Amino acid sequence: MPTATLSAPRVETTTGIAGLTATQIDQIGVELDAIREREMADRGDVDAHYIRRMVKLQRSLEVGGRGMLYLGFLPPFWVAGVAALATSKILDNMEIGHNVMHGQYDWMNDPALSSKDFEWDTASPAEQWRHSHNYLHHTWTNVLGMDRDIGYGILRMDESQRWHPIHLMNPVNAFLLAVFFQWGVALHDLEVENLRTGRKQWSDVADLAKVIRRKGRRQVLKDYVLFPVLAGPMFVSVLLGNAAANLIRNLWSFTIIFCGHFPDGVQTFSKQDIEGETRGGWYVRQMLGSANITGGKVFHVMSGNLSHQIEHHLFPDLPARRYASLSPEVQAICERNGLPYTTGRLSRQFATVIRRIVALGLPPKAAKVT
Amino acid sequence: MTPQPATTLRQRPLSAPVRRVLGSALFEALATPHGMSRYLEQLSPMWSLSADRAVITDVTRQVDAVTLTLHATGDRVPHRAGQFVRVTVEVDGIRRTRCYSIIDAEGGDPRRITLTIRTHAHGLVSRHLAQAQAGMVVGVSQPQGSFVLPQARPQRVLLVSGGSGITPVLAMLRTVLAEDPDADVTFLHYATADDSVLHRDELARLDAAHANLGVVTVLTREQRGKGGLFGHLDRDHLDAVAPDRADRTTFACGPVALLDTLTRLYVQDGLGDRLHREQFTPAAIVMPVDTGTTVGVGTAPGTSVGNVRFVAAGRAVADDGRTLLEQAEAAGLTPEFGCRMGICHTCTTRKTCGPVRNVVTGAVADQADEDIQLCVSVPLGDVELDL
Repeated sequence: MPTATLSAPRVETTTGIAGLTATQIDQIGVELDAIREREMADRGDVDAHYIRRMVKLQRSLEVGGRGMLYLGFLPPFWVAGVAALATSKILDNMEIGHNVMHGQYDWMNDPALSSKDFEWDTASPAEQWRHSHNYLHHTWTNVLGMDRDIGYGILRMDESQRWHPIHLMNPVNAFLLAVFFQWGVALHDLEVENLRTGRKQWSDVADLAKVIRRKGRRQVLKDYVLFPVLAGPMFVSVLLGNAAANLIRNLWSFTIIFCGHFPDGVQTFSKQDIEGETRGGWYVRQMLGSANITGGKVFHVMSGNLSHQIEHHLFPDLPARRYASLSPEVQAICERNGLPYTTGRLSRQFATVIRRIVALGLPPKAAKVT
Repeated sequence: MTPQPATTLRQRPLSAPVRRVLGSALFEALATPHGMSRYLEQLSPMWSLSADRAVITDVTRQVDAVTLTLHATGDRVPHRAGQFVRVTVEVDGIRRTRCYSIIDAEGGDPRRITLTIRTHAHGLVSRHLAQAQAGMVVGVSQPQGSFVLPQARPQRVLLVSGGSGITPVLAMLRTVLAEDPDADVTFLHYATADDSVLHRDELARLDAAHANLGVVTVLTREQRGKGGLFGHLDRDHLDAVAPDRADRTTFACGPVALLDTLTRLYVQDGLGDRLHREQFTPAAIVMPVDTGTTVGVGTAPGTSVGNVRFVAAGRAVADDGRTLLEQAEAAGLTPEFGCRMGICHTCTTRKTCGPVRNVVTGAVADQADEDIQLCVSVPLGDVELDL
């Protein structure tokens, strides 16, 4: 077992990514393409039925949750209402929203499940999220300087990122990002860190900002004005209930998402590393740059199947319910080629993420190697 | 008050006042961002606030066709005789859309739509609809189409149809006779055999009841026919049935061969402007010539398989074998794109019709109204994009 380090050593690329030969990389590409084709051809009734059932569950929990909050003067109803509403928001955000917007269900030709038209119950405008996530993050996964998910512009998450005194705030900023995660995601495409340094101008993002304001306004109006006001004397109780549901969704999605690419064992890459990258090389980078979380069926659904981050990064537009069944095959490919397959319990994975956030917030000389 | 068809509460569309309330700004603000319809349809698909669904209330089956009566949701635009609707059904999890002509006369309840669908042996949607039961819900668009009976009704009419092409002209026939029972109409219909004439009984009844209506059915597979007419349409048929066609406005619908023959004869006689035609054709697939190249390359550069039409931009180009993303950009359009390798789905665009091939997987997509990824799709025939 390799000793635990803050981040995996940078890979030497004399032969190719992870020391693989070009032939090996091509072969990996062929094998994964075959899996992709097989799974894509198998899509049908079962997948359609699954997502429709998931949507029905989400809508029911939402209506039921909001209804129960209206009886929130009885504490059990308040708690149940918050739990139901939080679960509905989590499902809408992850198992439904994230997956639908990846195009996983475009083949159904259903406008309600079309990646281009779907809008989700959170402050982030879907179109901007699709741009920064589907395109930028998934194409340049874990490439420093290109994948802005590495730190989201405010956190230092990799040793190669230059330390700055502001990073002493890493733990605080991470906490704030977690609590207000839906707003962090909403602002992501604006590239605030580049606006601050002047690399981007406010005039460049004026249109984006307008869309964010409009979406954010509608969400705030719904959760923090209309539903509370309609509750009359229960105003405060409903307001707090909605806020609690949003907070739970924020914290949960932050936790799952941060466990996708930041636990120990996950690798980052430089721009030079991806020069001349083939399709096989892209596949290998996805495997090395992602981490899974172990758990039961319910956990997988609640994580939007991002517990199978590796399989998701290999096949982002394949219905996510299929990832669990592909895990053994993908693991076998990794084993055959001497590649790591990073996975672990949620508590352990998240603990390594917290440790990284804290350690990388300190100046490099002060960082301890444990 | 138009009587409601015998349906359950959940099968009945929401009335206009209810839709107005549920679709009001307050409710939409509570239901943002999904919209009220998405919640209502969980209770019943017929409770959509838009005019996009219909429940089947009546089914009449015959050997190779089915006539369905639909009752639709929302504010419906009254149809004009000759128009069609786009019907969407879900088969194996995938929604598929087909166009069917409305056979109702004008002037009735616009929420009520009657269609006759011929079952094709390999027809995915027609076979699905052939097994439809009352109570089944389908997607249905507003009436569309420019093949219509003019508002200023023609004095004398010739209707020519072949096979399932009878549907739009039947609507025209019913409309004209309902408005003027003594209208001068000649109806010429081609079918392969006597029992494959759709609505044969109704045509016979109308023929008997209206003195100025002449109905002639010609069987294309016979060697002998009534009045010496058999086989496919030709000048002799027209001369026998409608020698005065220069004085008639002609509406024709049916197989391409029938329409092309009719067009040729009319143009020869200088009557081209008296003919209006509607074509029912399936998407034609031109299989790419095997040039020995590996998957991932389109047809040889310079080989055009048809036209690419960008409907929203109002532009069309001849296909040049490259991916649709490259061809759109070459035509001066600026479609959204991302990875340009078929992963991120940023370039996903609605293809309204035409066949395309995925250069990564080789898969062919030839349905109407389906989404495709422009960066990995090459045309296999005439293609229309919502771009």
